[in-house]
Amino acid sequence: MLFNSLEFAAFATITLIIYWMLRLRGQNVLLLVASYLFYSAWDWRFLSLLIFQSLVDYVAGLGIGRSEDERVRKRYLIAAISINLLVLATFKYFGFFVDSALGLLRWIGLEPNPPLLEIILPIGISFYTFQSITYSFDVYRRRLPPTTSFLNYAVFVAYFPHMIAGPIQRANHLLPQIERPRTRPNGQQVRSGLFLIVMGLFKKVAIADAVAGVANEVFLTADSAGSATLLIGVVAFSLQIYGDFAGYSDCARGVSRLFGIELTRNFEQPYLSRNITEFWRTWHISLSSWLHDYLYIPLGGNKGSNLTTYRNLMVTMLLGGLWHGASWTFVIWGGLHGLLLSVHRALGGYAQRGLPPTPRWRDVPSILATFSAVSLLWVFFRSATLTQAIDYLGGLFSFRSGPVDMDHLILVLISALMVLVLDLGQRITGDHSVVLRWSPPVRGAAIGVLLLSVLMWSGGDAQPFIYFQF
Amino acid sequence: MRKHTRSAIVTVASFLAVLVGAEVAARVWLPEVPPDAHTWPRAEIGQKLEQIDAYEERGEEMDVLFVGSSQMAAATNPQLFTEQTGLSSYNAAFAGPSMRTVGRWLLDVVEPKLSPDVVVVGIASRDSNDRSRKNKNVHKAFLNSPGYRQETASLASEFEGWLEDLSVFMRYRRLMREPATFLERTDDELGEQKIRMEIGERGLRLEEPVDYRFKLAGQESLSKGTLGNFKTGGREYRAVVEMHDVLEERGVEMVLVNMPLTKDYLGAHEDVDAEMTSYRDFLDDIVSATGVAFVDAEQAFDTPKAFRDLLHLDVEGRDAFTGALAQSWDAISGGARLQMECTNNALPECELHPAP
Repeated sequence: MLFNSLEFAAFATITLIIYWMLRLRGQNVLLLVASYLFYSAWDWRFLSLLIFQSLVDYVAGLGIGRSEDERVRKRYLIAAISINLLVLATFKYFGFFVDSALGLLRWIGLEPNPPLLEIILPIGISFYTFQSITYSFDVYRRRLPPTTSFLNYAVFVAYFPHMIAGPIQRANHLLPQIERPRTRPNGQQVRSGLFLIVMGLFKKVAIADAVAGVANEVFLTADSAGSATLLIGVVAFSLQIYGDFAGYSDCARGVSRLFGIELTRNFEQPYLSRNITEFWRTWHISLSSWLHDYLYIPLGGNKGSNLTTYRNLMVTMLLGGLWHGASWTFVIWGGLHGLLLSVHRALGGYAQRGLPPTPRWRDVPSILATFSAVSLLWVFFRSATLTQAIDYLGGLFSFRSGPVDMDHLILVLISALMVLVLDLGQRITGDHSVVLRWSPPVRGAAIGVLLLSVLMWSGGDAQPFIYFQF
Repeated sequence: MRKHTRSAIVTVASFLAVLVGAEVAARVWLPEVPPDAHTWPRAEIGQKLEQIDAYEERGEEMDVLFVGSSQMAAATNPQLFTEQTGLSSYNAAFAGPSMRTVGRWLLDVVEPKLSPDVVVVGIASRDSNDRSRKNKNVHKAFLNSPGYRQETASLASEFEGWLEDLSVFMRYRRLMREPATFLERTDDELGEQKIRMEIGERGLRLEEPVDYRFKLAGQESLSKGTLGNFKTGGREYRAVVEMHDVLEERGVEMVLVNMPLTKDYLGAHEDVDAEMTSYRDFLDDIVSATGVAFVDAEQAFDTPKAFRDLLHLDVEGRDAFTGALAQSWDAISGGARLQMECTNNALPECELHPAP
């Protein structure tokens, strides 16, 4: 059930209507049932896994919260995290580790032939596992009292607007909202929620899906394409992944707002970043801040020597890459980002906390340089194998000639322009729903144009959200 | 009137004005195209589907189904085939598609309706070119056509179909997604879409006998279009293998026929030796991967007398080709590898021999 489907529109509308007829407990029961139904629409077989993980963390949270003995608290924390990571390792990384071990054995001349075990990846597992871990950690660090209601905890883990692909919510942000009575959203909140949904659909359908065909086509025929075409393919994928994921996040936030629950922002115009550190402060914020708080800081952060800081950056980004997928392409992608972050730091670069300032003309070269670096690294993210990625980059820098598809070029330019206009508008005003502040005729016309663009790109091959695979 | 009510009305009015403006602009700017042409990328598909639906409604199943591009559409006479073998048959081939489009048409639309026992797939080098821009465009147009989506329908696509009937903007939006192609092709390609064929019973193209005519423009168009930037494999290869595998799962046999060609057609290849070698390797790979029955008719005719143009058999050629398939049907459907040889008389005759 994709956000950009009529099925989801009907499902969310019916749930919403019943939801606002109920009191808090009834609302939470409904949210849980709806979330489990939503999850079952993908694959009902893994619902038991979701419930099992919810139970483990709920019980661990109670154990941590009720004990004053630090050793006991720590044991509960370790048990909860170990079980979560074990489930994740089994379902997501088992095949990767086995394949890598077999590859190594073959490389040293052995020919192992173990029985094959195909494990299906439960959808959204990386997202809800990380979210569960934040709960155990936050209770352990006494930032949050443990919830005594399994219903509330289960809703926190499975809340359907964001469970498949985030944004990953911190327990201390989402759980209190689930536990306390919610007020019906006022007219302004409803309008902004609906606008976020329209904006999300626009990013997904009119930007990401529009260039998805270009990226797919170019990556499929990369071995014979000219360098100009390969460049178009890289930019197309950069736009696709941004529109796709930011579109999903906007839809999730918009739908959730209609339920009276605020989700955190996940993107702050990342392609306007002036350096790689700024990029990671504005791209997939819920993951990058998770990695910062629960991995980079526990590793020591930047408290030690420069070398220790670089090591911590590399470890964090390598694991961040691996979080995306069980493949060496993701590990390399993460590692190269770690390297860029380390180099940026070594050169004395930094990025201030909070929303970056409005870019000025003099920032254009650094924005272009950052976008180019990020886009080139997306080649590893997009390629099925390391060899494919290296061949693609080799072809790109061979400067070989070849025909350029004008349709592809026009689509990528139009999409890039739309991203630029949207992001600049948001950056300048600091408001993701700036259109709603415009005068009524302009506002109506702008929403009309957004909807026309969605209609224009609707009805082709529906592209699944890229981040659903993680 | 309260301020926020007035503001809401103005917002909705300007929103609607944009939608209406787009619709008016589409009606003024876009050319009118007859309904068949926008339901399917080729009117011929709609014409054949009407017949197929009628057979399905009557519960009439076909023993043998012919699919492929216009080469197969022109090369088989299902009425003659049925007369000679006693097996009911239908020619569902149409102009334009490469293997990936034939695959979708066969597996998603025609085979479920006619439930054949055997499917004969016609193929030539043009159908194997994975990098052909024309093949890609034809495939996209087919997949995105309202006709295809209605055939593989859901509630959402029916709603979309209703919107497309109502709105010119909605109807043409797929064309506008490829602005360069759209601006380039309008007259020729939209005109091509409108061509209605004379179609007889069982999908037979009703054509008059004509003499072979070499047209340089036709050769050049082939060279730049479906044969341009030639590379076999990829999606076209996977499409043939998928056809075989899915048909096998459904209990249907498949026969692959390498269609007869003229030397002038071969001349449209930029590097004929290398490209035809690559194409023949492509066929060998398919046959060895799937074990599909295979008839090689590529060099069946020494001269172009039996053809109407570079790649389409004329009426006499068609009947000779069909007759050869009918005569050796038992061997073909038994999975043999055969080669076709034809005489070069005014009324040619063809027969099949075991392939060397």
